[in-house]
Amino acid sequence: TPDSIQRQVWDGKLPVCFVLPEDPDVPPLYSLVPRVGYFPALLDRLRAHLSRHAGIDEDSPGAQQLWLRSAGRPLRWHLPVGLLYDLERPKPPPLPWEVEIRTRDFPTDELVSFGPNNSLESYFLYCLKEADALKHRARVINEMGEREHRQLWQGLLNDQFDQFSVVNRKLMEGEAKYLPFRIYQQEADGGLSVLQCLAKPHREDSTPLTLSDLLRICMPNFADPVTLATHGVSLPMETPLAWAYDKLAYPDNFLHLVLQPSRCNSAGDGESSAMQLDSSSEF
Amino acid sequence: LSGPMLSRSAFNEALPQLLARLSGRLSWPMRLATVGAESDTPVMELQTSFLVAGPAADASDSAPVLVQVRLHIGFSSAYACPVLHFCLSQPDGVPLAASDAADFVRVNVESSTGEAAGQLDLASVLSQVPHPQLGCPMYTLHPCRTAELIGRLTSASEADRDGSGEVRDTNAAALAVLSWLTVYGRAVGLQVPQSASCS
Repeated sequence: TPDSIQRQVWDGKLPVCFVLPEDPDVPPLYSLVPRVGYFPALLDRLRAHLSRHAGIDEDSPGAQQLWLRSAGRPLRWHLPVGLLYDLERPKPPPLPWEVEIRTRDFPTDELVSFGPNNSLESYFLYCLKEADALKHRARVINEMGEREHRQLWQGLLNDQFDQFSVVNRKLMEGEAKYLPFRIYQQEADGGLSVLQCLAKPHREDSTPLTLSDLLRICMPNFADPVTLATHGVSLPMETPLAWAYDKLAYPDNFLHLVLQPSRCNSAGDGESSAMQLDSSSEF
Repeated sequence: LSGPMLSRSAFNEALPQLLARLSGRLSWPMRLATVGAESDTPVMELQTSFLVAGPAADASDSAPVLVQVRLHIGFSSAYACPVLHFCLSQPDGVPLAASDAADFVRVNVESSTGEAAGQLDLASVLSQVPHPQLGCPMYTLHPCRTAELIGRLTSASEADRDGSGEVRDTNAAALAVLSWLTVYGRAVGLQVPQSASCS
């Protein structure tokens, strides 16, 4: 039976307004974008919009080398949409989120380029493989055939939770050796620090590993009080990592956590973007 | 299933020996770099840069096409094996177009393995991804089969003398990584001389 938190995570959407600053006469494109989805999945729609309204042919270099910007910085579009929103500094922008379309000066040293020779689908699979390598030494993902790999991608692309979940369940069940997670911190200068390390579901004494434990493992010399948030929701530090992973992992099978100094209450803004987590849920 | 596993610390300890074995035999600059940290273990790489002949642009070109390869030899904790990240550009620094990059790797793999053109599903193993520590876009070969290969190499070298399931012998680790590099380096035109594995 579908888990209601997992379903809420899947259904979370962000209203986005795509604008073309180089031609203000072009009307914006509004879209409700899944938080767990990826911006490059919208490239065809954006190109069609530019073709129709800006006279930019879909096969032209401008359309082919299209990229996206928010608050003056390239959007690192290999990351899920919701994570990008939650990372915006100093706080998540008002909704609808205004995102700029750029057709020139693709930042080749900063952005992964997605296209026919480097598909978003194969990048998604690369992430799934790494997650399964951590959990199951890649046994489960390698036992699945190409058909099931495709089903995971098509389920995500077409917003089909059931189609996705029936395969994803195999990746999410059973004993995990290490849990796949990443901790992100947006720097003031626009840089992004990404932390990943090996974390088992349990401590040495077999009790569940908590998010506090995780921070101690990942950032051994860090002393300041912080919060960890995902899908726009701050998590209590005593949350077991395994529980958080099971309920809140993205479709790429990673738990993406945003680290914030705890005096900053940015998770409280943009309420309509945040999922309301049932605080009475049992761990 | 597989032999003793490489750990990040064993890989880090093997890097100086790997550097020593290669830098005497390859004529381009190599250096060890620390690019981040994983828990309290430094994330280290062997980084190098070299020019190799690229795939011929077309039959009428008289000048050989050269490709600048910037290669980072690192370690994937998820797969417990070494991993390559690389950038491909023209000698003037302009990055190769994605289709040219794919052709470059394909031609190198095919000339090494003799596989017929078109049979290799490169898309399933070659991706441009953000470097895990540096964040910049680089190509990588999916490590999904590499762990198996390293396991066989470490088994063969009897590197698990204390039965812990982990490679603790630095010499064995360096040789395993060198053997892996001899195979996988070919994808980017790197020819590791056989003499590198001799004492």
